[in-house]
Amino acid sequence: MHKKYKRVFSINNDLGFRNYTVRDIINLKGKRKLTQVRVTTTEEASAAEEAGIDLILTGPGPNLPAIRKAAAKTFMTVGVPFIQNPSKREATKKAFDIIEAGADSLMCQNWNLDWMKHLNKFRIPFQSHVGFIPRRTTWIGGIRSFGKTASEAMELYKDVKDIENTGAWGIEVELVPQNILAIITQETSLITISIGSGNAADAQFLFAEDILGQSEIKFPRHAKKYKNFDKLLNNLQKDRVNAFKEFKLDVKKKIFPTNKHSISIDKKELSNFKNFLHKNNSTI
Amino acid sequence: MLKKYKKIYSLAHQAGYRNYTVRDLLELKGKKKLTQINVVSANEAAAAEIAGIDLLITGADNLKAIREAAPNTFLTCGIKYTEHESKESIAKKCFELVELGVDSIHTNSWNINFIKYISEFNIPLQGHVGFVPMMSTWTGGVKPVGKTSREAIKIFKDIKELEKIGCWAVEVECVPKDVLAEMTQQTKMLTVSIGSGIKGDVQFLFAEDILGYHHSSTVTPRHAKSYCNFNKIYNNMQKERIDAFQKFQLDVETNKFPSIRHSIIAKKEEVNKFKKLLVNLKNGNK
Repeated sequence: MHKKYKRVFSINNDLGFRNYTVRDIINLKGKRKLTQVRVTTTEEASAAEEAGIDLILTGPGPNLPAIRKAAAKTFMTVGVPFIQNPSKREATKKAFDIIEAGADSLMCQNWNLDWMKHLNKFRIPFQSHVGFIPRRTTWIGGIRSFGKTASEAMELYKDVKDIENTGAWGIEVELVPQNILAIITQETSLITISIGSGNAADAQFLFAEDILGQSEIKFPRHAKKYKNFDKLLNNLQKDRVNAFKEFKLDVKKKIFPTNKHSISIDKKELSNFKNFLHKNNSTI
Repeated sequence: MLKKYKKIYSLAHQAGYRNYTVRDLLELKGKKKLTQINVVSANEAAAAEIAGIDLLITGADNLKAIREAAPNTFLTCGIKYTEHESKESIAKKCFELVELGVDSIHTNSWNINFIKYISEFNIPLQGHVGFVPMMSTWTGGVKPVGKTSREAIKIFKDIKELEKIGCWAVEVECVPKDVLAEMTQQTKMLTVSIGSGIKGDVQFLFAEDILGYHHSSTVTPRHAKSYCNFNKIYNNMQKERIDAFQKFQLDVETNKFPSIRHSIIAKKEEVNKFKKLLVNLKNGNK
């Protein structure tokens, strides 16, 4: 990887290096396919940066500063949960906290449109989400694709335009027909980020856990597994059990600890100590 | 594993199963060698329980997940002294941990009066003598303690003080093995040896050392034994992660992913209708 990073000021005014500014990403629309990976651990984050993944998405949990540090030079978007932040003001405050942790962009999933417009007044880059949105599935009738009919596609188009008008730079488009997203990608200035919506988007998005094959739920149809981490992790757990069993057996058989693992004492010091104990016992 | 667990009430009055009560442990002194492992993750805890490790010890941070992962193993939890400035504060923390299902509390380097206070609630306590990392400035740094008769006598007095308070066990760290041999005979408490030789009632190691995975230090301590090389395995896994992400990146760059198999297709007539609606919308807007 001979990736060039550019010098940047982050939106919390830290001097550093990044693969892209938000302007670079916007300028790449139609010119270059980008990748986005959602990570939950520092290992995934640093592996994504080393692999040259273009964009990283992660959550606002206590792990965020460590994840930022592990992938210090990759454009990183962080989710801002609306449910714990029930007002424009609180959502903004949370957004600022996340920016202080080094985020380059926010993910305003399910956000009130007004709040997004408000956030844009601060010129904070953010992306949003349309199509199948897990928390909003009750409105579309459950877990299914969205936009297979012309009227649903129109609904989707209007959602995209609404979000475009808030000043967002990108939009995750989930479980939408490929031929519909192809049209929408041309009709919007937003960077469209496809997950399960085909290859005609500006960016392709997957979860690290799916790429690695360590999904907690059933493997999604739209994802591609490049490794079998489920198996690796199971083996690791077997190794743990075996190691602990061996330790237990060593203790039982008195194989561990040996003198090599122990500390010795000068004979004279030991007999002084024993004398003390002897006196001590006889005084009781 | 044909391990028998016994029905018990936890300190928080929850009915459950455990491998030992504290009384069982006290009665095993001199009869059976026990093992204790310090775990930091649910995976380590679950593996230890399956392996039949006798005692687990952990910190307060991840306690809930660890208790759930090893619900039937006698579990001790440590409390940092710097987080509690009063005995009331430390009691409150103990009660919280008890509610989460711990069987015993590790007192580490607490104020001795705090230890006395908590023992008044009959919460089983495990103390710590010899080399105590946080207090090692008093013993001259990272080195064995008790190599002179004077130091050994000091440790003996520390042990007797904890015994008097009513602790059930004492971790004895980096003390000469012959000194521990004497101590083990001189106290009713279970002695828990780490780096103090074979004569403890309990042999104690950190899971990370057993697994050969160092997240808190860079080398395996001299007194520990590694049964696996998890550092190497983790490094290989990281290489696998990088490889997977690189393949994904290349697949996207070369338009190999996603394929039709990964995509949803709308019917042509619906797509055409959508295109017309868009044209109408734009004309209407003009």
